[in-house]
Formats: sequence, structure tokens, C-alpha cells
Amino acid sequence: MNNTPTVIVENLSRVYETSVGVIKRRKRAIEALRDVSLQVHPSEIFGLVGPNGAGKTTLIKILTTLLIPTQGRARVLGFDVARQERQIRPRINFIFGGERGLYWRLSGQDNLRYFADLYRVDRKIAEARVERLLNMVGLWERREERVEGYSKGMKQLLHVAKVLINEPQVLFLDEPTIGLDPVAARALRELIGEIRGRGVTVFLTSHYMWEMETLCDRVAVLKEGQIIALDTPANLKQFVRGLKVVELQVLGGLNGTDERLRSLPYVDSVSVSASGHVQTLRVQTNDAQATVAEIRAALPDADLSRLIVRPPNLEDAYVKLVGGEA
Amino acid sequence: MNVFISTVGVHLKNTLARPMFQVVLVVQPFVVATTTYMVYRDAGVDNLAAFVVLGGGLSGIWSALTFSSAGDINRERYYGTLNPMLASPTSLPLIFSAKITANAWLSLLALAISLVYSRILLGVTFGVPHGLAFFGSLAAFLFSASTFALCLSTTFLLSRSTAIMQNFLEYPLLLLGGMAFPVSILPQWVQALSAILPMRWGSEALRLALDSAALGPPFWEALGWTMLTGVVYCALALFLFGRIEYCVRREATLELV
Repeated sequence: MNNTPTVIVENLSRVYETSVGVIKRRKRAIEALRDVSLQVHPSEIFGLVGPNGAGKTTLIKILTTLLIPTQGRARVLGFDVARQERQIRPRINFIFGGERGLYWRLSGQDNLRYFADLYRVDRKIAEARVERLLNMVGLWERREERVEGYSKGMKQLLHVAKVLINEPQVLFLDEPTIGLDPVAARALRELIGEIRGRGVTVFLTSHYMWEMETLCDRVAVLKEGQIIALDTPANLKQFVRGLKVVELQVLGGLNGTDERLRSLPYVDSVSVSASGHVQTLRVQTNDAQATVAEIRAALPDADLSRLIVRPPNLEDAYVKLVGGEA
Repeated sequence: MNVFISTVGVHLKNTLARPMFQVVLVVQPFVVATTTYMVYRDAGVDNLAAFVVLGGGLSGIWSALTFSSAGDINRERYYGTLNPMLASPTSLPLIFSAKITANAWLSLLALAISLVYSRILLGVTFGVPHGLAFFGSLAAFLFSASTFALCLSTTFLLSRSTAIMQNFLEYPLLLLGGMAFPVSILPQWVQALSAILPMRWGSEALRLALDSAALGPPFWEALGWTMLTGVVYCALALFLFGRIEYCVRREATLELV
């Protein structure tokens, strides 16, 4: 078995230059990646997580030869991403989350046929492959319809079929389940599992931590362009070992409860996420009982049937690592 | 070859489904042919047909080609298909050549529309005394204008302001290229400037091929320059594509919309 890493990243940095000001324009350098090093092994599902702007997409764009690093080196399948892009391109493929990247005025089938041609797949092989892939993602019946009439989930599944058209050895998936309904997202996750089963190395980013915990062999946490942790999901959860998570859904305001909880000595971290009028308060604590009592006192009108105490998961480890940013 | 043919096919499907392209293809020849007819009707020129039909047709071809250089790149950028295109094993010049070829074929419709309109509504008869020379010049014009458009497309790849650049360049180059009017009516210094444009020589060759007089050295000279400038722009485009690909990978401008 070949154990040579599929992806090797060594001290990689990437700086974007941008201009600010209207009359007197000044150049500003933004460091998207700083001294990043990692390795991805054959047939591994490798996850990359981090807050928005952490540098995840930049790293994927460098590894897919769309960007050149400012410093450092990256190799995919043994080829240098900056200089040997022609060797890398036929062997990889990628999805950047969302609906873009397809020809909306063409049918699903025509899209796949065209991308097969772009990847120089023999016509006879391509026809059989297009049929197999459209069946695999459940779009065969709708193959002749224009993509503009597809739902978001169907477009995303077509993306999956598209990136398998050249039978890549490495697949880069940047937030592939973003915006999908639960059923479509589950179908996509199952597909990712199947793809790995065929020996494909998968490089995956997502904001959904339970998804990463389920799918990935290892996960790297990227913050402000730097890798701050890299390990298996089980080992990453060690960062929150011994803690309990108190979680409460509150309708309306928290009236400064989160700030008050942060000041308590037994509270490790507090995060708040909002969805419509509902706010979810998550407290990582060394003393669950005392924390619950504190919450009861601070929010006497809150519906405590929505309060749970549970062991920490990967998301809790992530929140602790990135300092409360979701 | 498969990639080239399928890119032409995909581009034709995408383009024909676009209402704006249909307007450019159909309306522009009407407008330019009518304007040219009004200008030259009482001017006593010998070959009115050459001015009216060619004026309308060539400006339609030129507009369609600039669309291929700028508008299409903008659309691909908007669709998010530039990244998959760049990251595929097919070279960008091959893909863009196919797109421009598709637009060049479509643009021939502009010439046909201009011809029919001038004949039926304006009563301008269009004779082709030197058929081989005319169609040879037309092929040379299409080739050279396409290579020029290919060159433009490289710069459009670098910038997200393609629509502005397209509008900025379309009409000055239409006039400088002698497509709406012969460049001989322009000031001397402007004529000198237009010498670097292959469309100027191509449109001149086409007009001379419509002249009933025997084909003389000016025709062959114009045809020769058309081909030569076309080849030069083709070489320049291939060189620029190599440089531009490196630049977009360095500057990260490919997907900015």
C-alpha cells in the first residue's frame, strides 16, 4: 500500500494585496494564510474548519492550482501546485459551495458531457459515465431539463456528479452541503462516504461540526490563517475533556446573562448563536449544577424544559479552540 | 478537437438563448445600414451597396465578437464557471478560440440580415463581381477580427470591469477599423493609428472586392495585411494567455464580480 501523503503543505503563506481609499489609494496586504503545514494521506477524509475568513477557501484554491502561494510549498499527488499544475489538474476536482459553477442554460446531461470533454474523457467512456453519475445522484429522470429549473439541492448533487466525471484521485469539497435541506445534505454526506470507499482522498471544509465529526478521519482547525489544532475528532474533543455543556434555547434577549456567566470561575467558555428570535446559549463548564442554578436565577422567565446538560462534542471543542467564534 | 467542437456547441446554445445577443445580431445591422444609407444616399458614391451592406454587416460582426471577448467572460465569471475552466486540463486559449469561433459564425447572420434589409427595404442591390476574392476576404476578416478579439479577451480576464471596457472599446474600434465607414474619411493621423487593426485591412479588402473594376495591388495588399495582422494578434494572444493565467493565479482576480 502506498503511504506517500496525497497532499503535502509546507510552511505555506498567502498574502492578498488590496487598495483602499478613493483619491489617495493605499495598498494594503491581507495575510490569508500564515505558515500552514499539513499532510493528507491516501483515501483519507481530511476536514478543515475555521471561522469565516480564516483562510479555508484560500488553501483549497492553492491546492487546486487556482492560486499561487506567496511563500512555502504545496504538493498534490507529488506535483508542485505552483509549477506543475498541468500534471495536477487532470487528477483532481473540486466543488466550491453554492449553486455557481454550472451552465444554467444547459441541461444537467449537457453540463456533464461538456465537463467530460474539458477533462478529455473519451466520448464513449464519457457517455456511460454521465449516465452512471446521473443515476448515482438521482438526476437521471431530470437529465434533459435546464439546470436553471433545478432546486438548490439538485444543483449541488449535479456538482457532485460533475466533479466525479474525470474519476479524480483527490477531491476538494468546500462547504458542499451549505444551504441544503436536511435530506439533500444527508444524501450528499452518504455520497462523500461512498466516494472515499473507492479510494479517493477527500479534502473537506464545512461549518457543520457534527458533519465533520461523522465524516472526517482528521480535522484541522484554522484561525486567522494559522492551524491551531490538527487531530482526529476524538482527540480534538480532549480539549474539552472534563467539561460539561449546558445548553439553553431562549426566546428573546439574554439580558447580559452570557457576560455574567463568563465571569464565573467554573465557566470555561460561553457562546451564543441566534436563529430568528431564538438564541441558543452554550456554556462549557466545570460545574454543571452551579451553572444551571446561575441561569435559573438570571433568567427566571426562561422555559427551562429547553435546557439540556450534555457531554461536549466536536463543535464544543472547536468553540473553545477558536475562542467563541462559530 | 472534441473540446473545441463541444465548446462551440455549448457556446452556441448559451448564446442563442440570450435575448440581448439576438438584439445585437438583428437590430444593429438595421441601424447601421439605415444610418449609412442616409449619409451616402445623396453623396454620389459609386458603390453604395459596399458602404450600406458592409457597414451594417461588419458592425454586427464586430459587436458580436466584442461580446465574445468581454460579455462572455463576464457571464462566465458570474456563473462561476471560470474557475472550473481554468482548473481543467484544457488550455484557456483553446476554450476562448472556440467561443470566439462560435460567435464569428453567428455574426455572419448579421451580414445576411444587412444584405436582405438593404435589398428589400432600402432598394440597394448588392452585386459581388469577384466572388472568390469577396468570400476569401470575408474569411480573412473573420479570422483576423477573431484573433484581435482573442487578444482583448486576455485583458478582460484580468479585470472585473469587462462590461465597461467592452462599451468603451466597441465604438471607437468600430470606427477605427473602418467597419461602419471607410477609414479614408478619417483624419490622417487617425488613419495611421488604425493601421494596426486587422479589421481595417479586412474591411478595405472586402470593399475593394465589391468594386467592379479589376482587382489590383491595393486589394492584394489589404488582404495580405489582414492575414499578417491576424497572425500577429494570434501569436500575441497565445503569449498573453500564458502570462495572464499566471497573473490571475497570483492576483486572485478570476472570480471577482
